[in-house]
Amino acid sequence: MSKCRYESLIDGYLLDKLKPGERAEFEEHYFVCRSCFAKMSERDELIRILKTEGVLTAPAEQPARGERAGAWIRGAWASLTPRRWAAVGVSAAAVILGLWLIMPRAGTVAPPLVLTGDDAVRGAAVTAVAPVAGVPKAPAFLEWRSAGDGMEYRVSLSGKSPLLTASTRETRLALPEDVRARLKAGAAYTWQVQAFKADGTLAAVSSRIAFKILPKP
Amino acid sequence: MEKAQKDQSLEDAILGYRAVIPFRVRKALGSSTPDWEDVVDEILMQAIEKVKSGGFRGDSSVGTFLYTITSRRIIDHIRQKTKVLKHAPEPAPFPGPHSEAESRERTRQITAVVEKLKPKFRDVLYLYYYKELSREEVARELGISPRRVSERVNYAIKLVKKAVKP
Repeated sequence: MSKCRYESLIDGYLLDKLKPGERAEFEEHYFVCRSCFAKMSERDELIRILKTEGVLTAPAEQPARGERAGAWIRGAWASLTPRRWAAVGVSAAAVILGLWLIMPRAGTVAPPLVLTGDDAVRGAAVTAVAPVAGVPKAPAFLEWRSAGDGMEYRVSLSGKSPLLTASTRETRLALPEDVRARLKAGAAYTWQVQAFKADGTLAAVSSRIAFKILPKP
Repeated sequence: MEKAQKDQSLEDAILGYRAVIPFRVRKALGSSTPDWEDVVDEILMQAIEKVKSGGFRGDSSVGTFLYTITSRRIIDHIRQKTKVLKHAPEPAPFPGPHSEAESRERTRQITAVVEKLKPKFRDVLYLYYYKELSREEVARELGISPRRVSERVNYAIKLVKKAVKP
């Protein structure tokens, strides 16, 4: 049995949602269409019962997809009693403290610097300039970058054994001739600079720089 | 004699509209209006008189003929009532025809079916018929498509119909 095209207007008519023209057209129609009138009567009875018999209740909280997260947050917010608020506060403080303990301290951490054979310190670094790596002959100077004003630099140079320890306020140290004479071609040496403040505290240190005097061709 | 037979069959056809005319009148006036039954009787009387006096020539269907009379009578009644209401208070609500035993039984059956429906069908019926939201609004409310709303409404109606009509 084919469906009457007016059937789709039944709900609109009963719920007073039709435009005046549609409404009049449908009213005239159901005076001549028994099928539509029968269906409308049934629907009218159903709607009357649904509206008056208290058979339906509002749906459980079932927001549209986009609103579910918001509804959850609102629900959680509403369920917080003062005691729960206190618990939430304590938990948050514990989490923050935990994070603070396990997180690295703020600021850039200097790489570990070898101060002596066994000790390592963290702090500002003195940057060595020369000599580094391979040099063609025994260097005349050990040179580094300034670690600040008023610093006193203590410089040490070693081969297989300590060769020199000296202090200066400049950013380079001229190697004495007797020391230079002991630097042999083909041998490896290391040197290091420590910067001390005027009150004698260690402010910065360079890594232990290795250099080698290249053998003569 | 032939005319009398024709008039009689027309009168019978008119009386066959005893369900349609009250529906239209109640819809227009509200079933709580106490005199809606009087209006229906007046319409039927007027239609039969017109048939007897040759006012209905058979140019249109009986349905259209009755629709026209019904619509005019409703308009007249509303105009008349508006005048009366200026001087008289609204009468007390009159009990509708649903207090009849048969109607009560159908109400019980429909209520039982609706109560047994799954929540997804009950929710749609609640929003669509009780709250009178549009299909699109129901769809948004429940996070489903408008087409799915129609399917659920139709399915629920089908179940109700099946339960009420054995």
